[in-house]
Amino acid sequence: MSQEPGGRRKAELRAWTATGESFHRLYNSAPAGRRPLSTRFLEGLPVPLLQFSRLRKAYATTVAVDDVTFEVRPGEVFGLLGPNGAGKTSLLRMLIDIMAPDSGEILFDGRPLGPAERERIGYLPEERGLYRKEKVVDILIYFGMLKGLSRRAARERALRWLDRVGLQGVANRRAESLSKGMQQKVQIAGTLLHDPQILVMDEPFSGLDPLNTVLVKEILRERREAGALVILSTHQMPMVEELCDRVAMIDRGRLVLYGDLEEIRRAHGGSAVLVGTDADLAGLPPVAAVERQGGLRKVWLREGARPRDLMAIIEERRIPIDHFEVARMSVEEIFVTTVRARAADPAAPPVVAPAAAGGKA
Amino acid sequence: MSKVPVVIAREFLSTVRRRSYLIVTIGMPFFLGTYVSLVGFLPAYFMTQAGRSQKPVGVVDLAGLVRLDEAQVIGREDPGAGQAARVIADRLGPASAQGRGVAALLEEIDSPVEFQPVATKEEALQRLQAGTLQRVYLLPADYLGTGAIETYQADAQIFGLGKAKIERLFARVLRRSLSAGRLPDEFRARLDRPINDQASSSFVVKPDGGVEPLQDAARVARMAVPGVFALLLVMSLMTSASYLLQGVVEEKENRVIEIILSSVPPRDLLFGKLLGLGAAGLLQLFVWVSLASFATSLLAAAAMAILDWKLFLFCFLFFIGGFLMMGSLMTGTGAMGTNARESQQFSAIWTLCLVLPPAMTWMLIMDEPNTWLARGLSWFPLTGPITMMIRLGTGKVAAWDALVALGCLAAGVYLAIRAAAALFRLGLLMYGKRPTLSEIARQLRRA
Repeated sequence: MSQEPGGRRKAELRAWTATGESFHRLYNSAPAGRRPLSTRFLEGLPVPLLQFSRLRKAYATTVAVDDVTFEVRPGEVFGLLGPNGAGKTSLLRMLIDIMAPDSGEILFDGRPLGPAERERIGYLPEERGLYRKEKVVDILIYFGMLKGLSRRAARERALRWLDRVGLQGVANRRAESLSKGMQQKVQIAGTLLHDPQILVMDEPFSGLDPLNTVLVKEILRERREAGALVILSTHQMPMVEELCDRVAMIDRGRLVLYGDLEEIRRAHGGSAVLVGTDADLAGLPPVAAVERQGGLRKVWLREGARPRDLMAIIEERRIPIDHFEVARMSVEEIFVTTVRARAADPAAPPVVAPAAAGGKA
Repeated sequence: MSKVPVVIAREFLSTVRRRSYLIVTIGMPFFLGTYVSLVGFLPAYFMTQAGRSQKPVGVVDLAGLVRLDEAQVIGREDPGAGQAARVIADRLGPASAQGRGVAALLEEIDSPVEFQPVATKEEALQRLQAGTLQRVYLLPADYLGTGAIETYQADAQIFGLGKAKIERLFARVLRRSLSAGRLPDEFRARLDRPINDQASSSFVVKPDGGVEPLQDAARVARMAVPGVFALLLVMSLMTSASYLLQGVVEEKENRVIEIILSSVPPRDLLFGKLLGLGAAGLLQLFVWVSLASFATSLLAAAAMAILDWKLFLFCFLFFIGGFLMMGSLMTGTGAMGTNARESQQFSAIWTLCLVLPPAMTWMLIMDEPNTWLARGLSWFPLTGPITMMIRLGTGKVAAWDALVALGCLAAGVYLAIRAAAALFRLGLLMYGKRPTLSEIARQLRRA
């Protein structure tokens, strides 16, 4: 246990955060007389910008979101993952206030989400489009004005963002005359016009070529550096791996995985080892399965077995190896493993990795 | 800050700038002209039919010179005349002045008016009140000298169908009566002009038996103001509804709606669309009305507004309420459709609800504007606007009655906007599929 002042409280706080409850929220909801006099122990701990608390949303025959609790912090790229129909879009629509939850709440900076907060959110939905018959600049001006900008400011920013996404000279073209990728970039420009504090992007890379994908990744990183919170919902796991600091995974409406991406990967590591050898490892006691991976063999360990158990047997039997590495699971593998495990045991509690502060460099 | 003005401006400008809008706006008056002439033919036909089944006309002859047997003679004086007149009318053609004259003669032959002598003015007025006479002519004792007659009609008769024809016939009866007797020379001029319009006077017999001078212009204007508003309401709904649905379906099909809803609450968006596209529809209607020379009706309405601002205000409030309620319901249900055609079918239900019940009962309502049927239709928000406009035109509706109807309409508008916003929110986010009835019910319960 940490010996630093307030270390125990910090540990408790991390534990609370890990279960999805925000200490800040608990602190603020406590009667004034029962709050600790000093909040110094909170220093250095990240304050959540968004808190999803026990959200539930049901449609006629299905429960789209079922008792989901997690929080998101400023200056991070937060991945919202899940298979098709998991409830991600419903969750985002509740955040945008397009639909109301049946129960639970979403807090923005500790306050219930209202019209003022909504203006600080930029949303790029998965189902998106433009007014086909209208000029690009007019569409962007309208989007900007709906977010509270004046006509002049909206126009200036529209031209600036069009320039930034490489669409110089299309301002006066009708949307229908643009390619799908160009329309996609116009939509992204529309989302960023009002310099939102929270960017919610649902599949922002779909329909983009590799060059434009790089461009959008750059923009997202810039926004994060500028202190914005980016919520990224995508099926493209390499993007999650590359961009996200923390993730939440939803399956069949329930939170199944939540926390710092590195921690999650570490937690899921150790169940496989990469070994460079020609020997047959399949029959060794800790080994569950072996598969080829390039010039190496990926050895899946039985439940409860650790890499060092395998290493001990290899040493004991003097099996020649030239490479031994604990395999880190890719996000895609974690995704698949988690969804399959969930299918086998729907009542299993969510896997929550300790929430680490800070973002990626 | 409310986003409603931004939505209004965008919806209005993007609509009026469309080429299709300009083409329809300019081209419709020509179509409308043809349509109105065709539709105008039918009421004319029914008015002729109504003339044939009219009640008798009473004549109180204090001058002692009217020979009512002459009225029967007019229709029977020459059985061959009718046949000959038809042949002449066919040859002259209905459009020529002579053709119209012969047609008028034919009309008199085909539908004679029955004149009945009545001994006293009091008896005549009682029979008028009882509804056994449609109108009464009274010849004062000094008629020969002045040419002045008195005309009495019941208050319920708004326009007095076939009034001109009856007067023409009565003038002929008088002329024949005058020429049948020995008319002193100083009264020979009466033969040329049996009725001196300037000296004659017309009266209305109220249901309580009171008699008031008849002011035809005011009666017509009193009908015109609600009539113009009712027409405006139906036409503006018909024109605006198509723009409303077009706008909603376009945003749904283009997938812009979710971006818009992330910035504007559904209720504000619905309201902004309603006002912006409603304004575009009204602008179009204004152009049509002006081009189709209906401007005079509007001027009459405006003039009437000065005369009776309360009537104008009530009509205006019913117009606005009716437009907001029907427009929001149309848009809300229109959003449930998966394509433009389906949306139009859904929203057409509301037009029928607005127009059909009053259209089926308007004659009853005009005859008796204070029955419980008329009140019920006025207080029910869906049929209230048009029914109240019909009732207000009769001038017999109590202020409390109109206020109750207005209150019911206001409540209807509130509920309609809430329900429509809920349906709008539900329908807009469902791409390519229709919400189930249970989902709709759930959404409405929440609203």
